[in-house]
Amino acid sequence: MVELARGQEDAREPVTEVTGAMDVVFKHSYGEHYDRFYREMRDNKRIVGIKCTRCGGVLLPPRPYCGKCYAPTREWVALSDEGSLLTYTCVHLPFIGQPTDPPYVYAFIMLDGADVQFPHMLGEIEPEDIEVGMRVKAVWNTDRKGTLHDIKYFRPV
Amino acid sequence: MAHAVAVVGTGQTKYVSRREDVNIPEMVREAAQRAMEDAGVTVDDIDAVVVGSAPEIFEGVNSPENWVGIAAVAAGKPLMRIHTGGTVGASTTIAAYYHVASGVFDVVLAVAYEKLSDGIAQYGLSACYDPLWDRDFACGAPALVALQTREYLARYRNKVTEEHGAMVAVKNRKNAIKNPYAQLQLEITVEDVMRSAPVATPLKLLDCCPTSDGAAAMIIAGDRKARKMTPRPAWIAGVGTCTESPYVPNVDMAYPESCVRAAQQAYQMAWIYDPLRDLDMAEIYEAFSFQELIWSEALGLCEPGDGGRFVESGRTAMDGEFPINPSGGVLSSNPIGASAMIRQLEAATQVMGKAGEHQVPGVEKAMAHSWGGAIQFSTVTVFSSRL
Amino acid sequence: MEIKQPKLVCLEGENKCPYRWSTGEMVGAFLTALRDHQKIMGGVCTGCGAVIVPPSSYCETCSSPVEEMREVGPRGVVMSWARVPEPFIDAPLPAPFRYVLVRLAGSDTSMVHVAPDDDNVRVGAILIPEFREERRGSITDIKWFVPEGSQGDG
Repeated sequence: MVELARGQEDAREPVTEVTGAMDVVFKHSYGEHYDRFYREMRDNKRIVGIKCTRCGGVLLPPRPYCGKCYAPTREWVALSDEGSLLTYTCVHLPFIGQPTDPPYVYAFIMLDGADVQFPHMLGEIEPEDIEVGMRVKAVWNTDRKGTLHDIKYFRPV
Repeated sequence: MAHAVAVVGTGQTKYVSRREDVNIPEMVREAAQRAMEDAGVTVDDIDAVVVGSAPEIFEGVNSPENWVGIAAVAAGKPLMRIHTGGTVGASTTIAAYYHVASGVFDVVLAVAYEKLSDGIAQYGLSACYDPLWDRDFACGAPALVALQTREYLARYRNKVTEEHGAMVAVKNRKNAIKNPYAQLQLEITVEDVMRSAPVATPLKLLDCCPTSDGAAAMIIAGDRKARKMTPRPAWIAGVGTCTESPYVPNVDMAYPESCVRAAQQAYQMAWIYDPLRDLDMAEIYEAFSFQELIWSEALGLCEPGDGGRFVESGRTAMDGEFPINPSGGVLSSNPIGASAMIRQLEAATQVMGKAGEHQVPGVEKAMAHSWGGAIQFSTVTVFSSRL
Repeated sequence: MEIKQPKLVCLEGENKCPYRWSTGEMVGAFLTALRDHQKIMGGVCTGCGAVIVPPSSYCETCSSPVEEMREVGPRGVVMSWARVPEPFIDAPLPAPFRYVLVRLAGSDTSMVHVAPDDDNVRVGAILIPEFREERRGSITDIKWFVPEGSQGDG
């Protein structure tokens, strides 16, 4: 809801702006595919993809159809929690409401057995030592809740 | 067969980091009024209005067409709102083009805007990521484009360097000095860019666009009316748009398929065989410096991997054979919802010969490009002085 | 058809983005007059002469610029009203209260505001604004509109 206007406090200055916020709470439905994916992470420390029945690509995040062929997916595939680094960035920019405090290394990883990149963070390595193509492996959290944070980060192998 | 369609008038506001003297609808009105004056038309001449804007979370007003539509003279007329991520401004013009090319309307006002200073830009951009997937690692647009840039630099590690990105940043900020509407008008060096603070590596502060308040508007008219309104309209000779999913096998952020395909569509429609030879200049949506190199390749202006050499050669400079972003580009002004329309507006204005101090001599054909979403939407528009 | 209930139903999230909306000159002057002078100002259209409250820099009817400002009210007539019986998040007043569409004396447009849940708040009734002691340059510097003659009851 928009908070009804709150103007400037200093009565000598003319009003030039009105401040407020849009505070909204959301409940994002997982659906069947995200549900299976995150339960495998939480309960079995396992990353699973799903195969397109037409192009055979192993997709992430799992979903009922392929985003390219629009063919249905059917077969679940267990993926390795190891893979190769596709690309990365060290995020320095802070902003209001940022979910993760900078600096942190955000990366796309191609897990062994997958055909679509997996987004996560890198740890246990200095940013200047990171190389595209290097092998990395998931470090799992002990307290897992069924989110991508069930993996702490990926570390160099 | 589609009716021939042209841009007959344009209007934009001075892009600044914060406009305090106007609210959002007033800013939209300012651009719309200037476009109508430029085309020599009044409110009564406008048959329909298309409004484009970015996600509501940027400015905190839901269904903004409700209030900006009226400001954009839509009272008593058909109004439509368009939204396609960063490409929204271009999609707005393209929707207006469809209105007229279909023969249903003669004169349509297209207007796009953004007042980024009213909200928190990176907060809004980060909310574009899937909350069930990668939102927690997001850092607005810079993080995503940093991943794109790193992929590109790693692929061509022997051919493209971070200095090549810096050259784009230097060139476009210098071009902006001659554009009275541009926000960042800077005389800077490659060293300045290289030394600027890291935002999301390899992107440094001067590799990044600013956040801006501003609006842009164009009057789009059909063949018969266009010829009466102006002696030199900018004909919309080719239009291409394409969408791709970021979560499918073989996505290539360093050579995005949506861009390649959008260009193919627009070139085919405009009878462009070799864009570098057949076009005279381009306005490319480079929200971050390296993107000008990546898009130059995907648009077929140079070979994959040659983007660095392309800028280094000086061919894309203001006095080069194929100037890119004479306006200063997105690196100099970025009111997000309007930025893609500004590319078209600048390309059209160049064709009309009305760009003023940053006019490239003798432009007959010009291209405008834009990208949006998770590097998944692309548009290409070709403008021509001849039908 | 059987619907399988997944074990992870949903992920809770929150958007909490702060904003500062530029008022522009006309709305800025309107809010400043409320705060500093407890006056309600309208804008006069240079084309059709309509008095618009709150003012904008252009007329939404004839599209002409609005330049001059003129005081309107404080009395206004109720054009329409709606009763809010239950509380809701960020409501402007504790329930029950009424939303009113008020046309202030000298204005050609109606303005939305709030009023007490009083049966005298009905179409055609004359209301007057009650200003807050602490005013911050906001439309809520007018606490509400009350039926004429009932000031001080609220």
